[in-house]
Amino acid sequence: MPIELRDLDALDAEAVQQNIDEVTARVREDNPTLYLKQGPFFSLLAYYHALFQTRGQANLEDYLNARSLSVMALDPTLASPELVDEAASNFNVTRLPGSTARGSVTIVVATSTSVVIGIGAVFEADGKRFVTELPFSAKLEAEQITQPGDRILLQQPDGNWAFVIEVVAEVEGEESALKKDTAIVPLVVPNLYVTSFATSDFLDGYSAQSNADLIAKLQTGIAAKTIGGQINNLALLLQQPEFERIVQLSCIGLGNAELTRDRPTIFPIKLGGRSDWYVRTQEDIVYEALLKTAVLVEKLIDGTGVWQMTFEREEAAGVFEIAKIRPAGSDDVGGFEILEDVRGIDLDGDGFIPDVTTAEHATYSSYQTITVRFLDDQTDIGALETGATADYDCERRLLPLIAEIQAFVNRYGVRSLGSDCLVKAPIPCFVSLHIAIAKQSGTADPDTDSMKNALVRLINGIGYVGRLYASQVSDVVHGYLDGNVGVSALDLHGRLRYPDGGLEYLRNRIVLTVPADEERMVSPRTVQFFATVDDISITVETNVPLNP
Amino acid sequence: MSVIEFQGRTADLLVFHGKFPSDREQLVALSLIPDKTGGFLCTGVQKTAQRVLTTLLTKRGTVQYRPNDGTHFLTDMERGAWRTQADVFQSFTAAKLTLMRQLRIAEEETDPDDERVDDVSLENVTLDADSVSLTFRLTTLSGDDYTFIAPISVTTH
Repeated sequence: MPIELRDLDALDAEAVQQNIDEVTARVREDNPTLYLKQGPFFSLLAYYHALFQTRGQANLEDYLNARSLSVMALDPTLASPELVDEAASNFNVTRLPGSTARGSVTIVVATSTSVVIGIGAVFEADGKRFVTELPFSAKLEAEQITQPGDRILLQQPDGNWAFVIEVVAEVEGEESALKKDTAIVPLVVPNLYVTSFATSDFLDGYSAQSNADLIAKLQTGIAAKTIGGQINNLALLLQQPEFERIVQLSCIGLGNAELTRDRPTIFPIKLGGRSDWYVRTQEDIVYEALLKTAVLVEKLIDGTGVWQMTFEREEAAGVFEIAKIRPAGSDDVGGFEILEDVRGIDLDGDGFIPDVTTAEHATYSSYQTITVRFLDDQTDIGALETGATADYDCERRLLPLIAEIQAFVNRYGVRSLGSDCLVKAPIPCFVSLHIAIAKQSGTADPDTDSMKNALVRLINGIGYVGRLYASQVSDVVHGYLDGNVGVSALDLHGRLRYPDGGLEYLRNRIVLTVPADEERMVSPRTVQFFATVDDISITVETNVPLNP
Repeated sequence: MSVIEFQGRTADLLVFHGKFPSDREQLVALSLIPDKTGGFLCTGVQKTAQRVLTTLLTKRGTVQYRPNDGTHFLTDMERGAWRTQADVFQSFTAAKLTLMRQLRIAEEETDPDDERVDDVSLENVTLDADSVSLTFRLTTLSGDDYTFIAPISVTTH
């Protein structure tokens, strides 16, 4: 048991003095002729006795705290990680280690000359640092690829050349996540360098679980790992290695107004036997690039065309929305206007299927399908007939693992025999913030990159409470401000996407509140806030005069 | 002065060994339990003199959790401030204020007069190659003066 005895120089001075007072008083009572105010008896007897007595008391307190889950829960920061690990292990709960985010970087150079990126080369993006773990060498011919770090140089439509390398974050934690297409710049610029950007989302960066995280998990460790109440459901999922990183779960069942699946007739009778699981499988949304074929469905008079692409159930599981549709290979960052986003339902397949009858109920689940119609005002459709096809790049915004969790809870040995479970990603409320910071002239600018990352962690870490307070935001921001620097304006903005496709825009300066529209399945129990660093705008104004 | 006079007094362990009272100055030697003895107790003015010396010679800040114990007297010596006799006198004068304050804090109205300090003065300083002899005069509230010598070895490396 890793309880370390306190050092004599790491005691509470007040406790030492109390023990000195006590020992001198007791010795005087027992032997009134000993002089204990100053001098050798005091220094050699009373003082050292008090010191060791204090240490003994502190050690005893440490030991008692180490044995007490309630004391650990009151202030998890007091207990050493080893003690919490040992206590948690009694409940089959273990601490998840941290990991670093990793991803690919596309480096664009002006010519096809061979380029070398050394091992340990540093790249920076949004204030985060990433390094290479291999030496990379970009080569022109496929025959030259002989080493793990060899990469092929490919010519781009604009005449430049590009190759892809892999990098890993320097530090562990979610803070190192990076969105696809984010500019990521090498500290040492290669020859004829043009640009570089994240080829895909940088994922898998997790902080090691803190004492508080671990103690919060104790409840799931104690709970029976079986489908039942919300804690049981969460315990069941967290016990599976593939789902151990799930961050939030809200289960809606009989008696909850948001559950409309159990009222299948026009009669206002709830039949029960159904439950909806809104699972936030990770804090950050995944922005996934996809090459997709679309069909021309309508030729408009102005020469533009309406195109349609369909995402089958396997591609649509847990998807919130499709965005940034643009011609394949185009570097247009905006994307075409999406005219329609129609959700469907696909219940084909063997095995148990939950009782889902409408597309609204299937939305954000693994049973949804998505059909998107968009207006392409770039492609010349003069010679094309409806039914013609073309390739487009697009972006899926989703939470992963929704289909896997659904498959898991559908298993005969796992599922409840009294109820079905429909697993969905939470109903998303996409949050954006604008923060104005006022500072005195001469005061250093605050670290806005770190501030944005911390705010993303705040927003994406809020549980199923349905509220984001400006005071929470302000509290985080002030952690990065020094001296005469303050928040002069704060604007909270949210875009809530209902399962039926409806959008509601929320805006407030004090609190973003998720509306209660249970008939449409929207309530604080079903909605989660999502944000990325790009959704947070911070302006720093130098408008406070210097003190005279 | 007889033993009866010290009945009911509180006693401390004697560490500065010398003869008290004496009609002449005493060389005190530091020892917890001298050879072939079981140690000695002291009381009265001998205890008071010992109290003065232990307080004066405790380096302020070195007793953990009791930052106000002691004086800067020996700290001055350690940092090489004692080059001449005048330096030692100056150092004592600076330390005396702190010394007297701590001595008074430990005293009570009910203590016998010869255990309450009226004044402490540094009478003489003898600087040798590797030691310093300090001659103090202690005056108690009983009005008696006692002189004692405290040898202090000086680290030479």
